[in-house]
Amino acid sequence: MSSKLVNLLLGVVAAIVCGFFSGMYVPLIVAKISPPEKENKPVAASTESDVFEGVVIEEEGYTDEEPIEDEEDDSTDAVATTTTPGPSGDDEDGSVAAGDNANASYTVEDEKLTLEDIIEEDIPVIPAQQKVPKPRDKSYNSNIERFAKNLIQKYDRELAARKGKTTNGYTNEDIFPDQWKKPADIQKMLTERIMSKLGKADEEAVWKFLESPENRLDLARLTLMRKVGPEKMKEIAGMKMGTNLLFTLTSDLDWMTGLMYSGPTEKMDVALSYMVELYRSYMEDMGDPVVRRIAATTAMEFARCNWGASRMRKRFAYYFSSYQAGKLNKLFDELQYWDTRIVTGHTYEFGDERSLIWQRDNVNLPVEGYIGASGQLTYRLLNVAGDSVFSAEYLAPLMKYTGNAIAWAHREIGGVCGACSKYGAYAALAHGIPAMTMGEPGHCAFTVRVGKEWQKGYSIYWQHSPAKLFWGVHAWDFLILQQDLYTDAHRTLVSDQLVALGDLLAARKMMKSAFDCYEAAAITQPLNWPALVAYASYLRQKDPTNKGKWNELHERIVEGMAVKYHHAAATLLSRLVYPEFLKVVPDRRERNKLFASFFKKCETFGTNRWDINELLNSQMAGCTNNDDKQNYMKEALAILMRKADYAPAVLAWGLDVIAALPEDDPSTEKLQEEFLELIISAMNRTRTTKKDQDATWATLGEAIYTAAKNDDARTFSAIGKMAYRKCKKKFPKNKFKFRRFSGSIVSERGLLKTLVTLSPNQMPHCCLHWGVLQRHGGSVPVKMNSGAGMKIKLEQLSTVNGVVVLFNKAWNGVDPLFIAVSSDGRNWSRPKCKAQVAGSIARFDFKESKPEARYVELRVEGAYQPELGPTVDMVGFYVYGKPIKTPKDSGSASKDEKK
Amino acid sequence: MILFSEMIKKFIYLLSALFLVAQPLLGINARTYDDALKKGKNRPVVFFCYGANIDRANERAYDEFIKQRKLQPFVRDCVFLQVPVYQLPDEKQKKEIERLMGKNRNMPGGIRSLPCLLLLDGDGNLRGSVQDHVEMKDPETAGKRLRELLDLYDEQEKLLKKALRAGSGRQAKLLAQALDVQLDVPSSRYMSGNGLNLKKDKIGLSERFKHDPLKLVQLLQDMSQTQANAFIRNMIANGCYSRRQRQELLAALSGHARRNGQSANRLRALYYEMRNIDPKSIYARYAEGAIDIWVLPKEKLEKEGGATK
Repeated sequence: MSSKLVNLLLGVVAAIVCGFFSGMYVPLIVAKISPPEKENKPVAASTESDVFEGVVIEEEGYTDEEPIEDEEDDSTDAVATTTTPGPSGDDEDGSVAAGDNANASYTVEDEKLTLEDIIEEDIPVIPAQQKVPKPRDKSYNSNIERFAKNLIQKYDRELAARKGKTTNGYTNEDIFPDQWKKPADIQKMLTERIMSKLGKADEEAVWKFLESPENRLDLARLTLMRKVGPEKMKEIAGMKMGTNLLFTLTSDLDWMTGLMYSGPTEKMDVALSYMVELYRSYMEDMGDPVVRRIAATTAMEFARCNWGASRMRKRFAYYFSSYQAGKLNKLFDELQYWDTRIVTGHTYEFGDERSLIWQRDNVNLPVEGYIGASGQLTYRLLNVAGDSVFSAEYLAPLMKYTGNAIAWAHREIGGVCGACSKYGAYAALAHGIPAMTMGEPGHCAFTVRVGKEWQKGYSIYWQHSPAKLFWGVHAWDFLILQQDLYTDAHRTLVSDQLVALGDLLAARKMMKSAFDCYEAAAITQPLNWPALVAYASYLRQKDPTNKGKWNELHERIVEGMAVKYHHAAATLLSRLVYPEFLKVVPDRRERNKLFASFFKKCETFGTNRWDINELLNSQMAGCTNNDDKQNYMKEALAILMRKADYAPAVLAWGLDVIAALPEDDPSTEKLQEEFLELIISAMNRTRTTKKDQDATWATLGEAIYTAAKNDDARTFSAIGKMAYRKCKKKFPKNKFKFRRFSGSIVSERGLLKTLVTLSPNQMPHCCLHWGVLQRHGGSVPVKMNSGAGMKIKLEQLSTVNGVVVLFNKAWNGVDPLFIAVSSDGRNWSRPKCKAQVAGSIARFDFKESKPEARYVELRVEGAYQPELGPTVDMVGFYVYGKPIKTPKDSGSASKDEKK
Repeated sequence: MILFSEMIKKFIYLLSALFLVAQPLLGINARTYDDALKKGKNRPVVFFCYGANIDRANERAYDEFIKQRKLQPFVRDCVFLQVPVYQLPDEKQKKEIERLMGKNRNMPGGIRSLPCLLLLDGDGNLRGSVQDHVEMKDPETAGKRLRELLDLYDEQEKLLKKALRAGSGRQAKLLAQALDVQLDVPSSRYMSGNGLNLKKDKIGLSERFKHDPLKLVQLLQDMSQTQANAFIRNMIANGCYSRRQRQELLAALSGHARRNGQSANRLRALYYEMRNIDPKSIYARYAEGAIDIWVLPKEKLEKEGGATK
C-alpha cells in the first residue's frame, strides 16, 4: 500500500512539473528574465519613401514622361531635420508648428455669389421656345411633385434590388477607349442622342427621359464633357491610361453620378487628370466602389482647391491604404460622395498626412468620442519654455521626434483653441468621419458628424463659420441644409439632373424648356441651393423685369427653404432675389407684405441663431428716403419685436442703422428720437411675467451693448433706465462702503465701454454694465491689455476730483492700476494722482491735478493677462467732479472715435 | 481490485496534469465592473477596452488579444475585464453596457484610443494605461508593457503603504518616492481636507502641488538671467519636485536663457541637465530637439566668430 501511495504522490509531482513547463508559463518566464527593451518611438522619416504603417508616402505611379502640371512647392515632401523653424525654414512645418496665429481670424470669409450667364450655342432658335412661362398655378406644382415622387420611387426600387449583391449598378460600355481620342465627336453624338430622345422637351418627355439609366448616364457624360470642353478632354485622353480611365469612368452610372452630382464641379479638367494618375497607379483596385469614391472625391476637391497633384496623391494614398487596412471607422463605408469630399478634401490647417497617420493610430475613438477629443490637449498659451503658441518656437524642438506629426507635438506640449479644435476635428477626419473646424469670434471651434447629426465641439459663441461648405457661405444653417439636402439622396439627384438638363436646354436656346426644368428642379427639391441659384441666374439673364416670375421664385423660397432654414433662405433672398425683384416692386406696402411673408416663417432662429442684419439691410436698400426707411423700420420692429429670438437682434440692428446715419443731416436726429420712442413703446407694451421679464432683459441687454458699441450714450442711458424700471430685481444692491470724493458723480449718465467679447450667456446681462455707473451697482467682467482698459465716456466735459472703482473681490493683480483721461477720446494723458488699492476698492485722488476729461479710462501697467491675473468683475465705477459748462457740449468726438 | 486502483491512479494523474496545465488559462475574470472591483481588493484590475463596432483594426485586436488568448499569460495575476465600446449603440448594446458597467456609470476615463489596456486599483482609480499604438501593436508587446506597469504598481503600492506607516521623519520622503513612480495616484491616498496627509512635511512636498509651469515662465520674464538662475536653482534644491517638474523648471530657465542671448555652452549645459533627469521622457526629447535647433547653429556661429543672436 505504501508503495502505491508513493507512486501516487510521484504522479502528482510529475503533473506539477509538466504544468510548470507548459507553454503557458514560458512567456512569463522569458518576460521576467529578459525584460523587453522599450520600443523606440518612430523617428522622423528622412526620405519620402518611409512607410508609415502600410501607407507608402512616395510618388507612386508618376513618371517623367508625363508632367501633369507645374508642381507647387510641396514642402511636405521633405521632413525637417535640422531646419531652423520659422518662416525661413520648412514652410509647411514652420507654419503649422505655429498652429495658432495671434492675428488670424478663425472666421472663414464668405465667397461672393457669382451668377454666371449661360453661354448659348450657335444654333438656330425655335420660336416656340422663346418665351418665359407664366407664373404657375397650384396644379402645376402638384403635377411636378407627382412626377418627382414616381421617379424617386423608381430609383429607390433600383437601389433596393441591388442591396446585398456584389454587382455594381448600371454600366454601358458603348463608348470605347479609343473613341475618347476624339472627344468632340463623342460630345456631338451624345448631344444628338439626348436631344432626339427629348424631342420637344416638354414635361412628359423630360420625366420620361430621366427614368432610363441609359439616358441618365448619357446626361452625366455630356454634362462632364460640357464642363471640361473638347480640347481639355483631348489632353486628358492623351495621357497615359487616359482613355482607359475615361472609358471605365463614363461606362459606370454610379461613378458618374457621384462625380457629377455631389457638389461643386469646378475645374473638372484638372480633376479628371488627377483621376487618370490615380487610375494608373491603382488600377487593380479601381473595381471597388469605395476606392472609386475616394479617388473621385480626392481628385475633385484637390482640383477645386488648387492644392496640387503631389498632395493629392498623398491624400489618396492615405485614405486608400487606411481603408484597405481596416483602420477607417466603419461609418466611412456608408458615406456618400458629398460627405466623402468633406473627408478626403479636408484642409491643411493641421499638418499633413504624417499627422493624420499618427492620429489615426493613436486617437481611435467611437464617433461620439471625437467631440471630446480636444480635451486631450492641455490649454496652454505659453509652453514650458515660455514660448508663445503663436510662435514657431512653441513646438519646434519636438517636431523631429514626432516626425512632424503636429497633432502628436501638440498633445505633448499643449495648445490653445485652434490646436485643441483642430486636434478633435482632424482625429475624426483621420478615421474617415466628416468633421471640420468652425470659426467663432476670436475663437476656433469644430464640429463632427455623429450619425446624421452635426455636433459642436469646443464652441463658445453662436456665430459659427464651418470651414468646408460647398456654396461659398460659411454659416451653421448652411451645414445643416447641406446635410439634409443630401440625406434625401434620390430627391436631390432628380433635382440635380433636372438642373443639368436645364443647363443643356438653355445652352441650346430652348428657353421655355430650360425654365421648365429649373422650376421642376426647385419644386422637386426646395432645399437645392444650386438649383435655386441656377434658376435665379437664368431668370436674371433672360427676363430680369418679370415681376410674376420673381414673385413666384420668392414664394418658392419662402414656402420651401425658409420653413426651417431661415438663414439660408434669407441669404438667397438678399443676394439673389431682392437685387432684381425689388426694382420691379416700387410700392412700399407691397414690399412690406413680401417681407412679412418671410418673417412669418421665422418664429425661432431655426437651426441656429443667425445675423439678420444682411436681410434687413437688403430689404431696406429699396427705401429711397428717410420716410420710407422709417416706415420700414417700424414694420420690421413691429413684426420681429414680437418674436423672442429676434427682438434683441432687430433692436441692435436698428441702433446700428441710426448710428451710421450722417450726423450733419437734420433728419438724423429726428429719426434717432423716433426710433428710441419706438423701442420704448415696444418695450413698454411687454408684460411683466417672469418669462417675459427674462425676454425683456435679454432684448435690452443686446440693445444696450449695441448702443455702447456705437458710442450712443443717450440710448445707452435710456435703455439702462428702462431695464432698471422693468427688471429691477436683476440689478445688485451695492453694499460697499468707501470714502467718496467731492463733487457729483459725473459718470452716472455716461457710457461704459468694455473690451470683453461676450459669450451668449453674458450678452443678455449687458444692462448691468449701465448699472456699474449707478449707485446701486452693476457688473462687467474686467479685461484690459496694454493699450486699453475699461472706459467711460462722460455726458459732458468735466473737472475730475477723484475716481472710485469697485470690484466684486479683492484685486490682486501683479501690475498696478492707473487712470488715463482724455477730452477727445484720442489724446490721452495720465494726470498726477494718489492711487490706493485696498481689497476690492481702488481710489484715485486727483486733488492736486484736477484734470479736465470727457473720457476716463481704468488701465493696467504692462500687459494684463487674465490667464495669470485675477478674474474679477467691476461692480462700480464712479467719477467725481463737476461738469464744465460749455456753449455746445456736442458728441462730435464720438463720431471720430467710431471705427 | 488492482486494476481498479491503477485506473484511479491514472485518473488522478490526468486530473492533476489537466488542472495544472489549465492554471494559466484561469485568470481572475470578472463579469462586470463591480465584480472586478470586488475581486480587486488586493490585486490590480486590468480592463481591455476595445471598439466593438468601430473598425476592423479593433476587431482584429479583439481576436488576437482575447479570442486567441494571447494576452492571458500577462494578466494571470490580475482581475481582468473585457469592456466593449460601442459607437452609436442600439438599445441592446446600451443594455449590455449597463449590465457590464452598472447603471449611470460612464466608461472608464482616460481612454485616448482604442483598443487599450487600463490598469486600475481596487477602488476603480485609473493608475496607468497601455494605449500607445506602438505598444498595443500585438498582445506580446502590450503584455510586456503591462507587466512593466504592474511592477511599477507593486512598487508604488509598497511605498504608499510604507509611507502610511512611517514616522514623521521619513513619511514625506517615502510619499515623494511613491509619487515619482510614473503612475497616477488618486489624491485621496495622500490628501485630506487640510492638504497633504502627512504627520510632518519635512521636505516641503506641498510645493509640488502648487507648481504651475505657466505662472513660472511669466514670473521669470521680468527677471535678469542671474535672478532667474538663482530662482530656479533654489526651487530644484528644495528637493520636493518630481522629475517632470524639475525638467519643467529647467525648460523655463533654458527658454529664458535662450531669449536673452545666452551662449551655446550655457544652453547646452541646461538642456543636457534637463534631459538627464529622465532620459526616456518627452522632455528629454524636447531637450535634444532644442540642442539641434538652437545650440548647434549657435555653436557654429560662435566658432566662426559671428554674432550670436
